[in-house]
Amino acid sequence: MLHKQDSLQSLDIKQARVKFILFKSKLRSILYGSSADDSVLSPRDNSLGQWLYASALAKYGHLAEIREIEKINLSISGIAKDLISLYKGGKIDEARSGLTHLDRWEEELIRLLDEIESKA
Amino acid sequence: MTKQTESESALEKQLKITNTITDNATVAMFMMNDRGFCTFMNPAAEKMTGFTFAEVQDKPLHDIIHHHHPDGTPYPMADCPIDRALPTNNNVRAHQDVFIRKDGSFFPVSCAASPIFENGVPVATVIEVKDLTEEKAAERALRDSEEKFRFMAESLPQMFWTTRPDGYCDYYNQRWAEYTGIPLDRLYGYGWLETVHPDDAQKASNAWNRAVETKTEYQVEYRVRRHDGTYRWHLTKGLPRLNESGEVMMWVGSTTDYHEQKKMVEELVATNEELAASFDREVAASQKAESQRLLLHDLFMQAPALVAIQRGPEHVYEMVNPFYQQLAPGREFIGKTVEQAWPELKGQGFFKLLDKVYQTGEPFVGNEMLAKIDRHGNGQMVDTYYNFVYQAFKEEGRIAGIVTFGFEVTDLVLAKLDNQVKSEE
Repeated sequence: MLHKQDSLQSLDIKQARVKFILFKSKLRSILYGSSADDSVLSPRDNSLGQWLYASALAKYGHLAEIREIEKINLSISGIAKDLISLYKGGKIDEARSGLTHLDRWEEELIRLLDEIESKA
Repeated sequence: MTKQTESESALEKQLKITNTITDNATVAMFMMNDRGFCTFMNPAAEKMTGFTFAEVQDKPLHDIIHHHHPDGTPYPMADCPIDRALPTNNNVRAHQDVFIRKDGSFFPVSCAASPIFENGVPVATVIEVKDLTEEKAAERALRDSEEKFRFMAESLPQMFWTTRPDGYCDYYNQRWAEYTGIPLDRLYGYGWLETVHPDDAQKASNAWNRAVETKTEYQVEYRVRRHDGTYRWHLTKGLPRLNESGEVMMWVGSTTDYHEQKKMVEELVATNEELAASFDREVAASQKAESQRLLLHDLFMQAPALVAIQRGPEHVYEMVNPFYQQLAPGREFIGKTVEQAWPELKGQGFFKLLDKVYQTGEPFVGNEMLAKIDRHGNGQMVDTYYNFVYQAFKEEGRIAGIVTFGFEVTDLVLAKLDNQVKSEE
């Protein structure tokens, strides 16, 4: 009854993964002509940014990994900007296939989240 | 020099010129007499047919190089327009036919036949022949490559088109007619514009104009009306074909239906948004539960009463507050069963009460109940009294443990007993 829920921490960290997936699918939908919001362009307002700045930095700010995730968030925002501008410039195929540039950041993010989970 | 030798020498000179011309001409030249026998052939004619002049002497030329059609049927001389030229006094020009080489192979030719008359009498025919083998092969290669292009274009699963440099669509594959339900003859030119969604027409034409201006590849998305009247999203890609001087010769392009893909991508966003939102809710709920837990923990720890939490059928201590700890100050509780923690209580009835509460979920209220305990761990048993409640708690709908909440009333009971004794005295 008064057990601490171990799952809370891991839930909180898994949330970041979900936020990244949401970011990716939002970007993809823009590259398929959806008039989605342009939050993907903003490191602060994109879904991963929301996780970082609303809760994660306060909780895990002391860990170096969280700073790394902040950098990843900047990188993926840059990728989003590049791909959207390719798309708008009529390089539709190039923009869509450019989504794979997110893969390595996703892998890195998962690695860092595992680190955080093991340290926290 | 006599007049005769003068004219002979002029004739000789003329003959030499004529020979030089016929010997070096690339076109094959024959001369036939009025019976169709070859009376002259130049080196190009020998090279073309494989026969020497000596080999074509004993029969009419027709019977040597023109006696059969390529399909094997005989070609009578009477039907031959070349042989008919002289008797009909008819110039034959650019006549296409097929001749036969010495090795029996057929080859396409274009020929001209000119009848020659001397004093009104037909005497000979001059024939010029051009071998068309290479020309025909080139024509055929071109036709083959066009057929290949068409075959490829028709086998593509997407709609395919080509335009002239000015944008006039001069080829659509059959997919267009199937997809849009508009016959090809109505699509040629600018018929495709009719199928573009009105809201996308501007965008489509902007992209096209920009491409024409920059002569570069272009891609644009717009909705195309299907034969059933529904508009579906398509990606159109066009590529200019440039000549050596960089001018556009034609545009080649494809128009591909990606409606399903777009729908899937949109569904995926919706699903992921839902997933993220439900994750957020779950995290928020967990945080709320966690803060409630902390609140309850603080409350129990600070309560001016005995509080203990025991989990499971063995009643394992999960938490005791400072007041409870004071019952037996040096004793370890956390992680021990109630029997391990209180061996001296065996047989005093408490364990059975706990079991019953755990099994039934019915709370038990004890009033001034006696417990004999070794409070200081020195083997000396003391009588202690308690008012308390055993209350089962549930997790996920099932009984998970028992909360003990109580007060030690030893002093009160002893005072009461003391009074009783005194009043009896």
